[in-house]
Amino acid sequence: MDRRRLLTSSLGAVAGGALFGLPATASAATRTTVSHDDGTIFAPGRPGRDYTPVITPNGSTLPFKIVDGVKVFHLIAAPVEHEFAPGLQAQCWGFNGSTPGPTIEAVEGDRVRIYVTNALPAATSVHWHGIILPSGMDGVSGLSQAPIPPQSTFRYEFTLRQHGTYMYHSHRDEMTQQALGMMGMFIIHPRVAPTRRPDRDFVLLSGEWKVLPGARRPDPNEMLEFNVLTFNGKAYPGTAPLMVERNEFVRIRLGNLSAMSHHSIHIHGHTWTLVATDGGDIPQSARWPEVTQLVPVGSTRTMEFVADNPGDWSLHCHMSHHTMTQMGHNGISMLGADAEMIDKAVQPVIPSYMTMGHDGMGDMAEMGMPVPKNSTPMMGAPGPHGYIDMGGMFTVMKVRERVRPGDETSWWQAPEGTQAREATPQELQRDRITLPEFKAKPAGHAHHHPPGDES
Amino acid sequence: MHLFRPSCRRLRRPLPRAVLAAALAPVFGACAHGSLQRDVSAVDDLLRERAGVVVPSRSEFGAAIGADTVAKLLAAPLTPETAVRIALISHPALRATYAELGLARADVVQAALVANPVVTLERFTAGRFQEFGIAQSFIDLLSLPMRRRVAEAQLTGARLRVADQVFQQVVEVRHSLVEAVAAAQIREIRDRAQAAAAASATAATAIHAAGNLKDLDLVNERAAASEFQAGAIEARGESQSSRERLVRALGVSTTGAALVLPERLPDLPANDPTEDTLVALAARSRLDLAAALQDVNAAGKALGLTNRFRLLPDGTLSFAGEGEDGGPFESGPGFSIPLPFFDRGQARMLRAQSALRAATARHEALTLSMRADVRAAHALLTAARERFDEYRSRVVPLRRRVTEEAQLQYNAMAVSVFGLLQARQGELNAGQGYIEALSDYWKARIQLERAVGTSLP
Ligand SMILES: [Cu+2]
Repeated sequence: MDRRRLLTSSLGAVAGGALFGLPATASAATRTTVSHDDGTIFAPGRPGRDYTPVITPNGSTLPFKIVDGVKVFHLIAAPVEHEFAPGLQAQCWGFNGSTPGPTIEAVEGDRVRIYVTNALPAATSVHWHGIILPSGMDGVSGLSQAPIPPQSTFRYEFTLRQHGTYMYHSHRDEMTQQALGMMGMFIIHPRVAPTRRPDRDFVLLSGEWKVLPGARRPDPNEMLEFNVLTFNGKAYPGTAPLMVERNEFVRIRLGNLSAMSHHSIHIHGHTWTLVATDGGDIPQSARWPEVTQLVPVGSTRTMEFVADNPGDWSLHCHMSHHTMTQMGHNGISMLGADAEMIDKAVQPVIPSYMTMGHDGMGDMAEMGMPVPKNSTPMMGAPGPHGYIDMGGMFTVMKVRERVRPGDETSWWQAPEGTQAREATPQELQRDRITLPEFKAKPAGHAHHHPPGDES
Repeated sequence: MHLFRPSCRRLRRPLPRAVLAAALAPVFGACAHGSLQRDVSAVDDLLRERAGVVVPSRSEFGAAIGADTVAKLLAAPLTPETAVRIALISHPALRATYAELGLARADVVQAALVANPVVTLERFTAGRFQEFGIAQSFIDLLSLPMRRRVAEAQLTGARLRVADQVFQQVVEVRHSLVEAVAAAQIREIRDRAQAAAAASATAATAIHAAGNLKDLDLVNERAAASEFQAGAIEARGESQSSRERLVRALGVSTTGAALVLPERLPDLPANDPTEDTLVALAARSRLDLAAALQDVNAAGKALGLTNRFRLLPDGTLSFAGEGEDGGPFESGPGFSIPLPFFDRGQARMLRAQSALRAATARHEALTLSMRADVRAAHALLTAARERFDEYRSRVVPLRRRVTEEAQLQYNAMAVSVFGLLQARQGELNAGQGYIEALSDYWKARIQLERAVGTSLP
């Protein structure tokens, strides 16, 4: 059969039967907008016309070309020198020069042909996570195909019979290859656009890594103690903010290919609605609003909301250790210990020593103490009102009236009366606030400066 | 220097009897005291070539001249040179050693003396019979030159042995100084290790008090601190003891605590002599080897002497007279020798031959052991240098890096205060290894000097 003759307009339908070996009833209604059972062949979906392209913060979208009505992509699996955050680099494995790899974007009904070139020192394969396709295209090394040897190129080809948020990742020696970053997002837009397309469609893929401070390669053997938590391969302050204009319709697609951790992704200042999982769209009646969405390992969740609340809003995993970076997870807790006593004993032996953490970790990151090379502060970065002591899987959504170039580095200017500040005595008196008795502020342990650094 | 070497004549001039002795000296052998001064000077000359320091002049009785400088030398930090000089000036044992020269010299003088003539007078009252006689051993006179040569050969050996003993003392002083300085440095390091362990225990106490440390860890830290304390005490005892051993080697009356030591051992010299050079140098320099050779020489001469007079070990010429009251008094010469009838000197010959064989074999054995000594000491020296290089260029800098990196990891809260202090302990441990290697190098070098028989440049 000459496939070219079958190409019609995007909504044209031509009979053809179960052309590609898929069961006729493969698709549930929630993940299709047109019938795929009758062998209809659709013209390749066009960005802008058929869909609003997604935004992958800190990432990119994989380009394609159309050959004989087929969207042709090329992924190159190769080692990559990756930066998690300023000062923290590692030898990772990724696709087309990044981890995660570029986001693949297509439209329900598209025929896609994806070449995978293996430039790694090890054999690999790519699994198209959540996508309904012929078994031989599923990418499970050994089960559905032979592994792709180094320096070889394999061709995957299938028709997309669903829409939604999916992923791709290595399915050969997963423990090693995913720990090193071989993953990406695979977005399939509906063939029939919904009544309102999102103005901003963000893609955030969660990941976790073990990179000891001063080491240079993620440790694939780690099972529990991950210390670098990322959105799209970046740990805060390496994460790029999500720029949104006020009242825009925003979609955030959350994916999770962490080795071992689910993530409770929490948004500030807004209520979002879970509209889809990797199983398809959730019927209107079954959607629910919330502010924190759990994304299990190997799942995607799609959230929508109207960004009607201007400001700088944090968007982060709510598991507290997932908003820390490498540090602070190994030493003995010093909380409440007599720092002066310890300093007095240790400093004659090690002059550069000072006790840390005896009153918590909040000030730790901004002490500016030298840390091992190739490591980042335990958390955070300077913010408009002091230090932001969050790191890891943390980013900021900036909702502005208008988004102008350069706004990524701007901070929200709170209008008068809309910012917390120290209460005045008049206010306290007016509202009859009784304060507890405080002792005179102790001179305290000068823990913000290394010894000999008093100026 | 010669001003301080009183000649026999000048010393004895006021005494008339000494004038007589001096006048007779050319006839009857040596002036004992003047020759003794020569023996002392000869020993000092041997030492000057070997001791590597300025050797003080010495009186004929072995007392160093210039003893008043010892107090001054002791006031400054000791160097290998000043320490040796102090011992050479003040050690009483050296005077005892020098006195052995007098013993050997006495033998020479004795050998140069002829047995005194024997006079006999007899008178028998009853028959008024009288007789007299004078007898002189003529064998004594004949054997005198040979006996004297044997004694002189033995004296030469004695000079070599005395010089060797003094050299051994010089080496001992150097060895003691190295041990004392090393012990002081190690004591300092063990004190710092103890302080680090104590700091760790203090931190454990504070963290435990805050509720963050279990009893097991606290007790562990305290036990470790106590062990380090015991180690520091041991190092202190060793340091104090080594100072006293140095005092003993110096032969001074001060206490070990009063000694002023240099702060650290000297650095390594740029390179070491090769084994072949050292073996050759030892063959030329070892005084005990020269003395053993001199023993062969003396034993050979002794054998010659014995051989010459083996049949006639004794014999006298005499003149005697006798007579009765009123009767004619008759007199005439006499001659007596033992007939070599039974004793033909076999035993004496066997003894002398055996003595020669023993001396020859001893010399040969010493030559062999000398070479092995040199090679053994050289092997120690080479290993100590390599070990020291390992510590200086790698272990110590790397251990320092470990502490620095641990500090960074501590700053990153990836290493606890205990881990940081443990890194410091590792650094101190490397420092101790460094000092031990350096001290072993110097001890091996001194051992090598002992084996070669001279100080090395
Ligand atoms: Cu999380």
